[in-house]
Amino acid sequence: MIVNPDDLSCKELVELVTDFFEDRLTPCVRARFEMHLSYCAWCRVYLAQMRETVQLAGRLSEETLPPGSKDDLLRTFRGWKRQGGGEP
Amino acid sequence: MIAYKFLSAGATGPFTGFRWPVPPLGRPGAWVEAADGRPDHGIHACRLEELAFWQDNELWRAELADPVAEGHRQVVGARGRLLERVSGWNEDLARRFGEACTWRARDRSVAALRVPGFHEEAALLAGSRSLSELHATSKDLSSRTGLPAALAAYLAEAIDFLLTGDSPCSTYISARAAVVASGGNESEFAAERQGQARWLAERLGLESPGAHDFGGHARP
Repeated sequence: MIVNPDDLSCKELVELVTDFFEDRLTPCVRARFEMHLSYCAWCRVYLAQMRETVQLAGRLSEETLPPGSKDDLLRTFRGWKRQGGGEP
Repeated sequence: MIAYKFLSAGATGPFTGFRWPVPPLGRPGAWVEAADGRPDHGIHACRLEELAFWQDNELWRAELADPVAEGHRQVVGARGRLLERVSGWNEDLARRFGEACTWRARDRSVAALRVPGFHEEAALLAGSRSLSELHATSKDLSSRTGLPAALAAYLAEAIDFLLTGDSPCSTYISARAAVVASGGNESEFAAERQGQARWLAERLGLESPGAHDFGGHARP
């Protein structure tokens, strides 16, 4: 829940990043999201890192994975679930 | 309508990365419109009273074409163009703006501390005559407890950011301090932001109705 109509915490911004990238924020929430960025240098850096990550990850396909990486990833995710982690 | 638009260096949209067409000398820039025509994807700008919410490197006077919709702390036009850069908005003014907001937060803090009887802490803050003195006093007081510590921590942090050149964050913290000083009234945040905007409008020589109740809180 967003308490202050003119404010957004860094944590709330992080939770909304995917919706921001996919243009799914309502105009009002988008304004608050951008308003937060206008004063929070850390979140600007975070957003830039996420944008770059999304761009780089978007270039990956199964075929581009180095040999063995697919198995390593699957093993990691399966182990994560067994250890009680959230859904990957 | 005439509105104002903060842009990153090089007339670049801070959230879209769009490079705005800069006005040729003495003439308006080219019109720009949202590519997909969605109303919420229009051209965003703000009114004078909203300036403090959107600080960035460059401030431009802009024209929005009808229909212009009301957004959250902004206005959204179907098309927009830059008219001229507000040359008075620069690093020096940004720093002076941050300082004025800090002193304003100091004054609010002093008043808020006197009410419940924190006279010693109030006097220490009120007696600070320079930013560095206020910084040291605030840092010292922030190690205490309760309201004095909370308000002093806001002041110290506002100055921390000011000293690194981050006026947008510093002025945000000063506005948050207004909420704490009021006992948690969240509406004080927006009120303080509007007061900050009046300071800016006045210093930049921009038209602003009723723009004279913030200047008296400048540094001593």
